[in-house]
Amino acid sequence: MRQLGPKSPVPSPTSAGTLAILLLMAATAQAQEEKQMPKAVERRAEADTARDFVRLAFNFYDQSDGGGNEHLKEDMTVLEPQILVSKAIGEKWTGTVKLQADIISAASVDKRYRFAPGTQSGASGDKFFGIDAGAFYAWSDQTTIGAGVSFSTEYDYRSLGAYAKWTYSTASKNDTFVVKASGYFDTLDLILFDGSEPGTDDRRSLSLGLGWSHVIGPRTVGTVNWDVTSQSGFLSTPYNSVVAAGTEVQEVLPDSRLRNAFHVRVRHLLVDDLAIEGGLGAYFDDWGATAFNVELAVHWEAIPEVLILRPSYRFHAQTEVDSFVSDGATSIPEERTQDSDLASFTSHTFGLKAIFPHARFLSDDMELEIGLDFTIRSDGLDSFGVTVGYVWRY
Amino acid sequence: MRLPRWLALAGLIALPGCTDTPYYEKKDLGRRLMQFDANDLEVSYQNKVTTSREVSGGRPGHSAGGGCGCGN
Repeated sequence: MRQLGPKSPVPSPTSAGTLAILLLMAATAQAQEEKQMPKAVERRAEADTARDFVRLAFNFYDQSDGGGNEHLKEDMTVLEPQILVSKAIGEKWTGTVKLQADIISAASVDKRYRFAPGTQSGASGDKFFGIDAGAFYAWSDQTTIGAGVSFSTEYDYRSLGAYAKWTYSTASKNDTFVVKASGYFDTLDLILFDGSEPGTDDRRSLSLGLGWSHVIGPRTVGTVNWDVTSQSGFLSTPYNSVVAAGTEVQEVLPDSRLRNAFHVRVRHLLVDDLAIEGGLGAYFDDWGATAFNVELAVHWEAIPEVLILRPSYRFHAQTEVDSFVSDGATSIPEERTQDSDLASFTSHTFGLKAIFPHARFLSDDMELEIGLDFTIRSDGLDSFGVTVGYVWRY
Repeated sequence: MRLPRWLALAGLIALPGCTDTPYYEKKDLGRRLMQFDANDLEVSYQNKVTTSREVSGGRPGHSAGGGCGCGN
């Protein structure tokens, strides 16, 4: 019979054994939990942080002329292959090279009916080729700096560009600030709507972009961007014309333009496999144009690590520039345009993208994506696009 | 002066964002679903479409104009 009395500070062999078993069970349970936790996390697609990759894309864009400028045929088809190569050079440096080509087929100046076969304007048949090379240096755990140059050429257009970018994250990684400055120096061969070629002219575009990304909460991030661009030089589109008061004349737009664009976006992880994003954009310039857009997107990991679906919607509304000339105009102002894209309109864009982050039927290091979008414009210039993308992480 | 309701609501939504989220609560932010503009080529293509078809000045963080004859 056991004696009652004060408890001994030294546990009895029985209680010590029980305690050991309990501790062991607890440790085993924790170990099992720890084992299971990473598995559960691994089953979700992680952010792609690869620095060595090749990204390929092929874009198809088609616009049908269901309205717009009644004096122009505005059907247009664009085929655009793109390739981006990124390579880590040591621990600190990353180099990138982007190549892009556009094969454009458009009847915007109705050229083939007006001029002799064999001639063309920049709009009736065009090929664009561009190259962009950049280098980025991880200055510290918090700061990255980078710079790059670009060159692009078209039938009637050449452009040299350069940019510099500074990115800083706070020690807590809750805030990231980006400053980007860029400049483009373009040369245009002027081929006017009537086929005349009065020579060349140039265009300069200088931009400053500021961005701030902020972790709003454990499942919510937001970003704010402000981009200001100052353009000067020949800002008209050479082959555009204006038809009014019984005559057709060359488009003439001001030779300087200051543009401001603001964007705010917030993304929230609603449930484990589904994030929603909302965005607002506002734009104004000193040509009298203002624009506003709203974006909504859902990012749904429909099959963990295998398939991400991204349905999206974008509403856009813009006012026309001050120099826009309506069809019924009885006189021709000094500054004038009838470019449909500088007119007042609203548009609705519906998109759906399917991303296979680890296309296991090919290889773990490959990614595949397919996207479709369709835009309905209030002026009848509807369009649709198809994108096929592929990533190889080497 | 009365504070407009929309401003008060925006303030309430933004308030939690003023505090730092500790690193151990950010696991979900490392997910693919939570990355803005992860695809450079997609952003580049969208930017080109937007700047050529609208006045609105391109995608967030991208400048309008320059480098392409199609820009508005």
